This record gives sequence, C-alpha cells and structure tokens, in this order.
Amino acid sequence: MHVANSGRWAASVIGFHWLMAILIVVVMTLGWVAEEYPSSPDKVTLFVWHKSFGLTVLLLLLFRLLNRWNKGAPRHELQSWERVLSRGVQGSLYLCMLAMPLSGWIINSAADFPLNVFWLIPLPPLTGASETVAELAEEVHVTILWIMLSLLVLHVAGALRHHFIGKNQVLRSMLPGAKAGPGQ
Amino acid sequence: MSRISAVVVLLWMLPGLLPAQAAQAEPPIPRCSLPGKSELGFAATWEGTVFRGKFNEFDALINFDPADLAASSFDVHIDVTSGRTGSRDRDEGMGEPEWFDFMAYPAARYQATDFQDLGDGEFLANGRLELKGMVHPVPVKFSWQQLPEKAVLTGGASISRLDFGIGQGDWATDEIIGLLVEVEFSLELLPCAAP
Repeated sequence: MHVANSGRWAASVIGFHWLMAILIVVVMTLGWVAEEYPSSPDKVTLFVWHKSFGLTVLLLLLFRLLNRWNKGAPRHELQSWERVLSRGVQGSLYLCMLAMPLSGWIINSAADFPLNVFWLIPLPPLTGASETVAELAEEVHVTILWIMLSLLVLHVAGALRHHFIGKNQVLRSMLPGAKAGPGQ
Repeated sequence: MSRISAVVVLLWMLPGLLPAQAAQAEPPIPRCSLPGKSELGFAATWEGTVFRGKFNEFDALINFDPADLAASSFDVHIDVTSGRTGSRDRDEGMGEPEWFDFMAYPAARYQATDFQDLGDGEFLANGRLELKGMVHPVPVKFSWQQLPEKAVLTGGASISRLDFGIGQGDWATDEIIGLLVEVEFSLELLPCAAP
C-alpha cells in the first residue's frame, strides 16, 4: 500500500469524502421528508429520489474504498487512543454506508415495490415479498440511521477537537483546497 | 292436475328421452363459492410495474346454466376492507378516503342477469358493479366448467378505477398508479347449503 508522505489526503480521497458527505445529508433529508410527507404521488417521487441517491452512495462507496486503499493516508502525530477511536468511528461509518442502502433495498424488495434508480436503471429485488421481512428491515434501517447520526456527531466533534484543541493538521488535511501547514 | 302429474312422472321415468326440455324446465341450481378455494384478485401497476392484490372475504351466489342463460344470475358481495396487496404501506393507503374509503364503503356488490354466449366455452356477463357508492356496468368475461362434484367459474374484467372514484385528488392520474385495473377470479362452486 502506498502511503502519502504529504500531510494531506490525496485529492481524490478528499473529493470522495465531501461528495459523499453531501450525498448522505441529502439522502437522510429526503428520507425524513418522504417519510413525513402525506400519502400522494409526490411522496412516492420523494422516495424514488431517496432510493436513487442512497444507491448512488452504495456505488460510490465501492470506488471510494478502492481509492482509499490505493492512495493511503497522511501521517499525523496522534496519541494511540486518538488513533484507535478515530479509526473505529471511520470504519463504523463505512459499515453504515454499506448497511443503510442494503437494508433500504431489502425494505423495498420485501414491500414489493419496484426499484428504478433515477427512473432509468431497474434493479432486481433482493428478497421476495414478505411483510415480516419488510418490517424487520425497516427497524434495522432506522436503527442504523441513529447509529450513523451518533457516529457523525463523534466524527465532526473529533475533527473540530483536532483543529481547535489539538491544533494539528487533521481537519485541514481533509479540507478541499486548503494548504498543509509548514513543515508538513 | 292428474294430467300434468302424469307428464311430470313420464318425464322423470324417461330422462333420456327429452333431456333438453327437462333441463329448461329446471332453474339453474343456486351455487355458492367455497371460501378457501375461491380467489378474487386484481392486478394494477405501480410506476409501470405490475403488483397484485386480492380480496380475502367475498360471497358469490351463482345461478348459472350454459343452456339457460335467461334464467342465470350472479350476485357477488365483496368485503372491500379485506383487500390486501402484500405491502403494509399500500394496504394502509387502500382504506383512505381518496382510495376505497373503508369507513364509508366497506362493501361492494356485483350483479348480473344478462348473459351472452361468446362461443368456445366463453361467456360474457353484462352486469353492474356497485363500488364506493357508484354503480357502473362492468362486463365480465368467464368460462364455466361443470365437474361431477363442483362447478368452476374463472374469468376477469377490466375496470377503470376513476369510474368509481378510486384514487382521487393527486392520485387521479396514471403518474404512479395506473388507471386500468385487471380483476381476475377463480371460484369453486357447490350447491348452496340450505339457509
């Protein structure tokens, strides 16, 4: 594995990070609005957008992990507990990015709804129609949502702590266009 | 009186002699649908993809004789609230006022007394469907199978859901859910039990 020597993440890693950060916020917002929306064709349309962006996250995740593996990570002077905690949170976030779209796909399959990504790409169901499976997958989907939101709070808090308390380059190294500090 | 009795007795004694006349003299046997072995379903589309549903509770009273259409009749009571499509979200929507409005219209009824023989074992019932407080003619195409132990009635009809106000407001378009619904049924019939 190639390890980046500069203090910054590779541009492609930064690109994936922020693109998917925006997408995930959009997907969560769409899911929440669609769920609250009164029964109507617009509600169905909101869900199609939610599912389409959610599955885009799943697709991007595969490329992102390959890219991340390929490009390596910048070296930061961190305490071992900081390293363990941040790796744990980041790894868990990756798992959530995988589990969220998959559990959503299972809900849609078990609830016997068609899946047509952006009204263009039809995807097959992952399971047969089953109300039990649909309800179980829904519980999983919502539970992972709360886990993911908690992890995001930790992730952001950690980045801000690095920046304002640790006064290190960790946050800056992931900002698009930001210059690495002197000596990095 | 005795002359008529003599004719009836004669007809009974010689069933092979005048079978057609004997059949015409008898009205069709009233038959009822067997709940476990009869199905009343429908196929509709969701964003162009077919989904299926069924009504679990219904009673069909069928008086049918292919040789005596004039004396035939259908009377089917359907518990609309028993409709299921295999999706909780969809089923909850079904009962809403803009769809079937279970609270106001829990029952539907199909009645037919006008029948046509289409040939090749196919028949047409020119009946009327009462659904959600509205009555419209709904022709039902069917075939009739007379087996030794039971009769089997299979067929279907095509219904435009907006005729009955099914899917109102924003739903009154084919944007998500198609306007045409195919109804399909297969009924196993036995002579009705005495009331």
